[in-house]
Amino acid sequence: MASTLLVGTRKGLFTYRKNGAGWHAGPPDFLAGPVTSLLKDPRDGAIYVALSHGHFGCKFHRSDDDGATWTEFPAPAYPVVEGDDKGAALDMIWSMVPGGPDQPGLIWAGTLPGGLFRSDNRGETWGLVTSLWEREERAKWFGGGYDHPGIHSICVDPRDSAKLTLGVSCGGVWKSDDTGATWRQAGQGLRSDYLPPDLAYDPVSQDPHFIAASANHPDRIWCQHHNGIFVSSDAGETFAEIRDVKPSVFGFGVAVHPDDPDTAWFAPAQKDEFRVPVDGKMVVTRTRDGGKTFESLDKGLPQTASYDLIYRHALVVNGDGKQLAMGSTTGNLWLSENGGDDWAQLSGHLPPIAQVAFV
Amino acid sequence: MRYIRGNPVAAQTAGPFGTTAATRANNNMCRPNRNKTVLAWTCRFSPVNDFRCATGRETLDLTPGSAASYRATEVALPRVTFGSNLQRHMPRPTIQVEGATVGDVLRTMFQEDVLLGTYVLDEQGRLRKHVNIFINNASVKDRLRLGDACQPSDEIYVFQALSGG
Repeated sequence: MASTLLVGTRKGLFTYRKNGAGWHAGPPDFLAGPVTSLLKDPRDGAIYVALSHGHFGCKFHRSDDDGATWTEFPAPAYPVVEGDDKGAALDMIWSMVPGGPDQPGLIWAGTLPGGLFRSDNRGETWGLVTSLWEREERAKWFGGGYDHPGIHSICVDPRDSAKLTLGVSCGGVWKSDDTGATWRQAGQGLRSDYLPPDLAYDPVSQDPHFIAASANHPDRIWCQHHNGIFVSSDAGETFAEIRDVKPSVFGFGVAVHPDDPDTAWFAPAQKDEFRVPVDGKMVVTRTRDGGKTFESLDKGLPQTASYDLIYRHALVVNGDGKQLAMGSTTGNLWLSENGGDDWAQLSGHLPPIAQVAFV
Repeated sequence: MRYIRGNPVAAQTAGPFGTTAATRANNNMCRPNRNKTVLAWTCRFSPVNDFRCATGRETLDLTPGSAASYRATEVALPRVTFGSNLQRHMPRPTIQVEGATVGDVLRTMFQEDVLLGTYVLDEQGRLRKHVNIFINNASVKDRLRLGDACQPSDEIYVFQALSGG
């Protein structure tokens, strides 16, 4: 069981620690700074935080001493486009993921308006992955909820760190087998209800809200799509749709058991024009048989007048497969230590939560 | 929590601010550009009253009243002042920088101070949407290229009104 939980919110980074009296957090780091992404690198213990100051742009900080001190480095920057007033500029750092154990110092960052960046020196400098940025298909990407498309999911294959799988809203699933030198569209089988019928299965037009691989069975990738729940058994090349999950197949987050790829958790919401718990009842759905059946877990969660929405990076499972954390846009923070059977509220009045992470 | 700022290893950073790494580990030490484009820093607002100023050839004592301070402040160059909201993130003294346009002035500064530049301009060199610049009492008109002309006697104010919830 982890005893530390990082919580990235609209008003700063909170660090919850468990002691004999339970889970508690002190004042946040970066008070009033909207945290858009955070990462604790298991390879060297560094913590990375991305902020989106509405007035001053996106900022990037690293701590090498568990948050006691922070150093700011220049955030990823898009290449200068001479003579073009519409050249791309960083809008948000949406995801940060470490490279493999054989790639020390390598950090990947997915951003709005759709660029993937890599750093080979622990975030001190960044470079745009032009092999993806310059793909013709990117012209078909479009914003889903934001003004621009963005990369929110980055899966590094633990068996081969050169293999990457990305989730893009809206641009579908993309894969590389050579550390990002070349890319190909994947995600066949994803389906969008809102597209013209002939384009419903167009892989580049898909909106996978989040994709997550089983840590120790990385061929199994679960996808919480705008349109429903999908599962892949070939590392994201193809997906099968899972329908009729109660109370809803709509949501943003998905967490996958690290050792049991048939077990995954979702945080459903009433689709998609409402985005609140169905009938005001906050639940987590769990499958333990690869999506054949789902349980609705509600113990410890509000069952009346709940308007909590769980964003895509705010539902996570720890490496033990039992401890889960979940944070909502309403500022509720919940924790389960038995696979979601029971939930405890750690706070009901945090700022809107963008991401949670066990460390 | 302590913050360490202004010590980026930014040699490979692409952008309108050039490729020069900012070298000021200590924000209280005012270091002009070694190419002497920046002729003088006035350090009146230095948070710890450290009035030293390194020119590349010598370190001047710009304590008010000193001979060097008179020499420095007699130089006629546009003066640049940053608003309090930016000071919270990037504390910087008022400085004097050479330039025929406000863009020239800022880009010269940001070649030395890469991180400060990211708070004011985006990577395409455009003024950030919620940041404003006044030359004396007039808002700049060219937010894309910052081509508004400035005179050596001008005061340039960089500030922002915070909003949102």
